[in-house]
Amino acid sequence: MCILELKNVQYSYNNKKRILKGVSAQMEQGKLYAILGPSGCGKTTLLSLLGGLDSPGVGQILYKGQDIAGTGLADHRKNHVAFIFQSYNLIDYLTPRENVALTSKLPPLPILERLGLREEETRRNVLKLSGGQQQRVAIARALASESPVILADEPTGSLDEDTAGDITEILKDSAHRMNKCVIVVTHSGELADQADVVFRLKRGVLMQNRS
Amino acid sequence: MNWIRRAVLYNVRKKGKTLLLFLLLLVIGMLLLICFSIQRATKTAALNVRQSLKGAFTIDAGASGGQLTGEVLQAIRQLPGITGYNGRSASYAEYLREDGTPLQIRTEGAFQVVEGFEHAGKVVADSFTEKDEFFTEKGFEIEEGSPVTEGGKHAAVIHRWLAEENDLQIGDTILLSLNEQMVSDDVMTGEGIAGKSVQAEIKGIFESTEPQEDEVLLSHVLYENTIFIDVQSYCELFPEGGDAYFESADFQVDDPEKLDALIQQIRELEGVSWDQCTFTKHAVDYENARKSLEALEQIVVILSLAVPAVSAALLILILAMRMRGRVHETGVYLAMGIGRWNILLQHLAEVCLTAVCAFAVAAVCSRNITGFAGEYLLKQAAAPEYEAARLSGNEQTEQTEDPVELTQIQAGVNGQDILFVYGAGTVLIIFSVTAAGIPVLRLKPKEILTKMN
Repeated sequence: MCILELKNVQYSYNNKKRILKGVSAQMEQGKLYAILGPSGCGKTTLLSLLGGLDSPGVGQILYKGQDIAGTGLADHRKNHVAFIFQSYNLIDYLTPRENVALTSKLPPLPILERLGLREEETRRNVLKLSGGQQQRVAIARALASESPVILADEPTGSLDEDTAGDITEILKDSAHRMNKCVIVVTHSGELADQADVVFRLKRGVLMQNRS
Repeated sequence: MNWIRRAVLYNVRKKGKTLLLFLLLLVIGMLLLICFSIQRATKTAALNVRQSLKGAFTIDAGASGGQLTGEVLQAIRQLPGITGYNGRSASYAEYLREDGTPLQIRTEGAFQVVEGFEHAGKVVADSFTEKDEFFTEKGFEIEEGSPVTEGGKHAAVIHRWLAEENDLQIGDTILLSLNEQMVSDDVMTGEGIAGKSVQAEIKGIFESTEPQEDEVLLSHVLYENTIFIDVQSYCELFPEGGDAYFESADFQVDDPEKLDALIQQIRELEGVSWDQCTFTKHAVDYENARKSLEALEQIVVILSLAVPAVSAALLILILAMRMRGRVHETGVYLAMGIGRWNILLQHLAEVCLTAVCAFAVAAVCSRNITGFAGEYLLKQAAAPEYEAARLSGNEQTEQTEDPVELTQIQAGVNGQDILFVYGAGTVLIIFSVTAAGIPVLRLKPKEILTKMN
C-alpha cells in the first residue's frame, strides 16, 4: 500500500537553480528504498521534502493520500516520519535512553538492547559512545517514535565497513519485520544492493533503477 | 519527554554553562537589589536631611486682623505635616505693680519717651513664648522660671533688667493696663477700653543676648521693656472679636518640601479671606540643599534605570550566544516534530530555574552587603558626633546624642525588593529568551540542518 507519494515535485534554490524537475514516485510500507546519485544532485533535498523539513515550490507530497502541506509540516514530522542522520544528531546532554525517550513513551531499554547496546552503555553520555553505537541510538530513537516512515540520510557514511553492514541489516529488518517504509539516501553500493527499490536521481529527475 | 524535564536535564548536565548563567543572573539580581536599597536609603536620607533642615511659614493677618482666630489655628494644626505652631499678637500696655504703682521702665538708649508711655512697654502674646521670633531669631533666652505655653493663664515672662530694676521675682504679680494716651495714640482701635487692665503672675525671666539694632528706638519698644504674656490675658486686655485672635502665626512643618502644598491646603480652608493674608516661607537651608538632594536623587534614578537596561542587554547577548551554540539541538528537535514554542519554553525554563537559585543567593548576598554598607555609612555620618564626644570627654554624649534620625537610614533589602526582583527578573528573562531565541526559531528546519552540516 502506498504511504508516501511524490507528485511532480519541483524545487529550486532561491528560485534560480532548479534542483528537482518534476519528481514523481510512490513508496510503500515494509520496503527499504535507496536513493542514489552524485553529490549535489538533490538527494538530501528530496529527503527533506519527504520529511516535511521544507516544502516544494511546485508539486505535492502526499502521506496516505493527503497533502502534507495541508495537514501541517510540523505535524507530519511529529507523527509520520523519523530521521536518521549521517552525523547521528543526538542530543549531547542526554543519555541514549533519554535520547530515545524524547519522542516516545515506549520503554527505551528493550529497543536499545535489541540494537546491540549493553545496559550500562545506555546510561552513558552519548558522546562517549562509538560512532556505530551512536548511530544505533539514532536508529533506536527513530524506531521508538513509532513513525511509519524512516528517512535516513547517509546512515552508514561515517561508519566502518562492518558497522555499516550491521546498520544496513537493522534498517532492512526495520522495513521487513517492523513494516516500516525506510527511505535511505546513500552513496553506498552495498546498502543499495540490500534495498528493495533503488531510485537514481540525476539532473533533477528521479528514475527507478530496480525493484 | 516534556520541556521541563529537558530543561532540568540541560541544567544538570551542562554545569559550566549553567554556572556561567547563574553567575550572570546573580550579579544582575544583586545589582538590582542593591540599586533598590540605595534608592530607598537615598529617599530616607533626603527626607532626614529635609526634616533636619526644617521648614516653617508665617501667616500675617495684616489688615484682616481678627480673622486668624484660635479656631482657624486649630484647623491648620490638624493638617498632616504641621509639627508646631505659635500664634502671636503684640501691642503696648502700661506696667503697674499689684498695688497700682507704676513700674520703672528703661529709657537709657531710647530716642524718645512718648507721652503716656512713661511706664509702658511692648506686650507680646504667644501660644508658646519660646517659639516667638524674639527667642528664635533675636537671641532672647529664658534664664529663670519657665516660658508661657499654650493654655497658660495670667502668666508673664519679663526681662532680667525690668525684674532687677523693680525688684520683681518669679511668683510676683503685675498689672498690665491701657491708658487713654495709648488708645488715642492710634496704637489700638477699640473704644472704651482705656483703663482696662489684667493681672499676670511672673512665671519666667529672660535675657536678651544680642544688641537691639532698630534705628529709631522709642522707650516702649526697648527689649528691656518687653513683656511676654499668654493669649488668654491678651484677649482679656483687648477683647475685640470675642475670641482669641492673632496678628500672625508661625507654623513648623516636618518636611520643607511640603511647604507649598500645605500653604495651598490652608488657602482652601473656609472662613478666612486668605487673599488679605501674607504667607512667608522660611526654608532657606532647604532651598540651598535642594539642588544637591535633587542631583543625588537623579543619579539614583539614572542608576536604577541603567542597571535593568544594561542587565537586559547583557542577558540578551549571553542568551543569544547560548542559542547560537544550540542551533544544532534546535534543528534536531524541529526535525523530530517538537514545536517551536515547546523549544522556547525549554530555554525559558532553563533560565528561570537558574534564576530562582541565583536571585535567592543574590538576596542573601545583597542583604549582607547592604547591611554592611548601611552600617558603614551610618558610622561615617555619626563620626563627627563620636569625635566631639571623645574630645569633650563626655562618653555619654555618644549614646545620648539624638541617634533617631540616623538610624532611620536603612540600607537593607526587604521582602518586597526580593519579590520585585523575581517579578522584574521573570519579565527580563522572558524578554531576553524570546529576543535571543526568535532569530533561530524563525529558521526553517532544513536551513538549520544545512547550517549545522
